[in-house]
Amino acid sequence: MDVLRIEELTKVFGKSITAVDNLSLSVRRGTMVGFLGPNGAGKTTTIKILTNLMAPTSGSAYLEGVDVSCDPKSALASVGAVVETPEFYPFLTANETLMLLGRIRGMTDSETRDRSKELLTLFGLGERANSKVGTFSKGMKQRLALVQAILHRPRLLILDEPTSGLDPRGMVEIREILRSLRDNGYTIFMSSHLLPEVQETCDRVAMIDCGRLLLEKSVDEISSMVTADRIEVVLAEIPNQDVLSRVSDLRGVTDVQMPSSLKLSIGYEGDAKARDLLLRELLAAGLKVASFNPHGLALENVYLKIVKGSG
Amino acid sequence: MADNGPLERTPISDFAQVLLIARHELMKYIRGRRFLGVLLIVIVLALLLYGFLLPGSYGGPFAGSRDEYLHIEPYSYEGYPGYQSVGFLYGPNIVPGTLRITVNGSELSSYEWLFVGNESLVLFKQDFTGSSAVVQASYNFAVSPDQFAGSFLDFLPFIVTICVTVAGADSLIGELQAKTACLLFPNPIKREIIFLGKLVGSYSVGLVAIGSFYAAIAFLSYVALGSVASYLSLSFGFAVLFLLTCLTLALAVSSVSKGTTGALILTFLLLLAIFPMIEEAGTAAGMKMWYLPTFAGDTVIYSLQFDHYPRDTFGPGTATQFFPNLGLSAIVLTSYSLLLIALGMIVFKRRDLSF
Repeated sequence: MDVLRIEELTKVFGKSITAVDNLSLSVRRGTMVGFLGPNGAGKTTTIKILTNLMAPTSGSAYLEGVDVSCDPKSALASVGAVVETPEFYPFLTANETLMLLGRIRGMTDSETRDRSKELLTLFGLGERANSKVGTFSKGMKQRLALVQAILHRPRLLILDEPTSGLDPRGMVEIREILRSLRDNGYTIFMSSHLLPEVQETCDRVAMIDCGRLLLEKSVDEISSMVTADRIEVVLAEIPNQDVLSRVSDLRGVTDVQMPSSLKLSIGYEGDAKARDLLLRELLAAGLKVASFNPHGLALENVYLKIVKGSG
Repeated sequence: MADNGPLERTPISDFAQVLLIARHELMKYIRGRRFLGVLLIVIVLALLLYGFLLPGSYGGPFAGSRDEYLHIEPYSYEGYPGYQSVGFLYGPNIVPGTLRITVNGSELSSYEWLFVGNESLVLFKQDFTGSSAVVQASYNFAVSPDQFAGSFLDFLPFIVTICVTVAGADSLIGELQAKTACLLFPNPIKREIIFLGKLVGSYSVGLVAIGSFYAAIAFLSYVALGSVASYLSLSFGFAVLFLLTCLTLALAVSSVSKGTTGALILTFLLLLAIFPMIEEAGTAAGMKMWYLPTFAGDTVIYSLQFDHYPRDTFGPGTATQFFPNLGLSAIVLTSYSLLLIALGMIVFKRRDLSF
């Protein structure tokens, strides 16, 4: 069953600004879907409609089969969300904030206390549990936002740029937690600007621009679509000229450059299978390959091409 | 992370959520010191009125005894035949039955003089004008408990306005402006419930404030006069209703405002300036503005005179005076409250939270 289903969703501001344009999308249970798009694409507007912060102009959004606009209490009963840059009540402590939200969501006080303690420690906020949230940094608030989103073990997590405001280590920690949640059966729908993050953590990707859905595929399908532009090869040994000329003649190679004596930058057209073949041919040609890296990510390439094309 | 996976949840009931939000709202006012601020205003105002402002307007203490020499003039009007001279008393609020008149130190029989209370003068059958007789009056005076309470309650609209401005006017728009709506709204809770919870929380602050004010009036009245206005509890009932009307107005303003500053200013101006000005203009034009909430709110003061309720008077200029009908005013205030609650809830429910 689809945990999240968007049907022909449209949102128009004023008379002429169409933020979401006939968007249809679904998310299956137990998957993690990355929601990508440039600034102003309609990602946050879509998330706000899903989380009852806005009403659609037309179309519907269903969470666990319940229309959010018609019955937000039922629709959001098993949903945890982080929307935009999170702000909290500065006069409440972290524990008090979680207690308030836990009660609204139907948790008992003892369950909320135990779960709060576990999650605050996990997210590195254990020592600040009884500090007023008004004293928290932006990164700490982002962590607390994630804590409150998963506090009640919701079936669906809706996250708007979950690693925003975190340092690199924090980003890595959050990604690991999100992967762990997905493995434990949570369904996650998250928007992000960070393509490596989406490619590493998500099962599927939905790309939008100008409010319209441009692509919705699994990460594997996207990877197989991509033809890398350049491949960076680091060598363990300086190659001779003979070997280099053989590389230029390999199928798919458009040009070969040597930025240094132990590096090759190969212009290439081909999918993942063809790249695998190229690597074997380079080794067969006598090159001592230390590393073999397609330049840029599959997702990045597809994203840039699609978004550019939609403009 | 030890996690056994997602769980299906059943949120608490709407009623329980209203109480939860109300409690949260009250905590906000207490920790933000707004609650303390309102209470301080009430206490300081009560003390100022009791200690300085009201005694100044009454020309002295609220109760006591007084001796004064009377200035005597000839009395030649037909209103009271048989009386030849008149003496004018300075003090108001003379307690009936306590007036004594002496002439050259000897008490004059009460058959020889007549006290006209509503005009503070004494008529004498004997003509004391031009004589060397020293005519003296001694009496007890006391502001009536109704007057005492009424003098304080003249300031109740100010207190109510402060309460609903401080605790109510920015209650809804504040969530949007501070973006805490992004935390609270994506939860299994209806917007109508959030509205009602904030109404209950803000109303609690106002109830404590005006309750404290009325308690102060009762206490001070007992200390100064030995008694309390008979219908003070009736007045309190109207005050509570007036508070609800003003608060629902503040929340309705908050639900449509674009910013907290605008909401605060508009609420303050509506209650302390705009409605009173419309009322004054209507009265000057000879129209009874019974449908205005501030006019209906005047029942807070006039209900003290329940036994001898004032009647509308008509005359040129400021001689026209209208008094709110108690039953009709209760209906007006209740209707405003219900209408504004419905309007506020509908607007708030439909409002897009775009930042």
